[in-house]
Amino acid sequence: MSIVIENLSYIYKKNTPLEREALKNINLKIEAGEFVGIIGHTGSGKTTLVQHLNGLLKPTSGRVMINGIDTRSRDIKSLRRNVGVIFQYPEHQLFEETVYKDIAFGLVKLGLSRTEIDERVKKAAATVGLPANVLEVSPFELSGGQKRRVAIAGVAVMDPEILVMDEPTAGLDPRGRDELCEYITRLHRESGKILIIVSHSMEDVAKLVNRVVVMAKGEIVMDAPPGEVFMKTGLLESIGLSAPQITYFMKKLKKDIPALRDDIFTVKEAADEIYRLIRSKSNK
Amino acid sequence: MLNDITIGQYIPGDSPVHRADPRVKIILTLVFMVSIFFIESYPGFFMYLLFTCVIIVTSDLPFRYTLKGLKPIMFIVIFTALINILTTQGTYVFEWGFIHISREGIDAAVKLSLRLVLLVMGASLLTLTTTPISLTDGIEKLMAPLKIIKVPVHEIAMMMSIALRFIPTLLDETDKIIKAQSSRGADFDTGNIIEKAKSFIPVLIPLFISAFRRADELAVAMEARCYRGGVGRTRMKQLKLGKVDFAVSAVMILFTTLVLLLG
Repeated sequence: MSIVIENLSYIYKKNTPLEREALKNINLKIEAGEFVGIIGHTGSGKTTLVQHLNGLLKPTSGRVMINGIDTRSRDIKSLRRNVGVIFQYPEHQLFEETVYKDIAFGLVKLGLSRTEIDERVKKAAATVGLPANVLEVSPFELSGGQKRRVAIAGVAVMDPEILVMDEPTAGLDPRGRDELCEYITRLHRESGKILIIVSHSMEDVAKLVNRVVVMAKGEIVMDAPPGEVFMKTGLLESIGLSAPQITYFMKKLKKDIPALRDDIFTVKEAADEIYRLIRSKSNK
Repeated sequence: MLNDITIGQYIPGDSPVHRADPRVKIILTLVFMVSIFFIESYPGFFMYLLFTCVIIVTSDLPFRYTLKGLKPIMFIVIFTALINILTTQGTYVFEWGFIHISREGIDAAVKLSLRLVLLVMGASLLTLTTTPISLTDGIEKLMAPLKIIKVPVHEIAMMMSIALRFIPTLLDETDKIIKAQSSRGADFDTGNIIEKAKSFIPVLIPLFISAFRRADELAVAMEARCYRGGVGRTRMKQLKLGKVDFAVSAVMILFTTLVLLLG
């Protein structure tokens, strides 16, 4: 699986007085197994870009190829099967009487056999961490975090080769956030799928992905590993973003203790680095 | 998907038409619409079309976009025109089998189509140049005398402005839910009419839930700001008649009387 985007531009409400250029000349290549984070200020075009991946939006000019096939070609159904998109606040799209039926919705539309549906629904529910006893409950009785998981399972159950998540952790409590991040990491490690997350949370991005695409005003301004991107705090701040808080903390600390490294983006790395320093001092 | 709807859309601008008082605009639009039914001659219609174009140009509205608002009523226009052509009796100019087309029929059809087009243009000129909020302000003020007979004028106006305010929000929401459901395999285009209707259940249920949630949140927010109906409520923007309003009214009255007298 691969994603190739060439000279993609997209204009909202073309030919009306309200027309607005949301994407300008985007070029992007994503290979199998990559885990990409897309970050950018509100209105920078992240969501618009992501909606091109499964053909919800068609390019105004340029093209988007999934596995060598243009998203403008006829077969939109198989495209959607290959590319799963989980929207912001996906729990708002739940509608069935039971959690089970809601997760199974896409599979039923595919016309799979009952035993296969059953197997896949149970597996998906287990991987996102839903206990078996909630499957027969109405999704509207669940907590916010559990609703989110039901919605994610509803897309993951289709077993897409490319999974896109728009702000997957927004609005969750810290525990729900951690659990979801854990699930996402596990999914990436075990499946070798292309994963893409769109996020405002630099902490989540730093923790999860191995490539960061930074967007501003409909253009890609940076495309590099998290280490490189988060070192350029000046550039990030100029487009309304920031590095993870722990990076700022380590930079401040380095002023007093020059022996510390400051290219650090997660709390875990920071802890390791401080331990290393303490240990090397006590050894002396 | 739902971006094609232009009716009720407001286009910002700073023309005399934009600046005129909403009350004046509503009354003048009504005058315009009623007077359309008194024109009988083709020169009269021509003057009206010309006048409409002049208003579009002076209001800085994009021409093609304004005309696009006619698209949804084209079916009605063509349908009524056909019925008129086929059913009016008189001197026949074309006969074939059971089809008789008379001179009078064509005449009636053309006039009716022109009237419909002018009516819709008049109404959309009002909404294109007036924000929904000032529109409902205007309606509230114009209906104020009805308070004497216990019509809840303020409440009606408030309901209208809330409804208008939420049309774009709900359209956005619908668009988002359709996208989300199609991402997980929903299909809205295939199957017979019953299957198609059924396929909208996954859109309608979340849409209703979110509409109720929004209504609830809005009610709480309004109460938190001490909203308790129209009694004693003042406004930030007081409607006041100005020079523009007299100028606009004068132009309109002059035009209609001239055309009606001459035509």
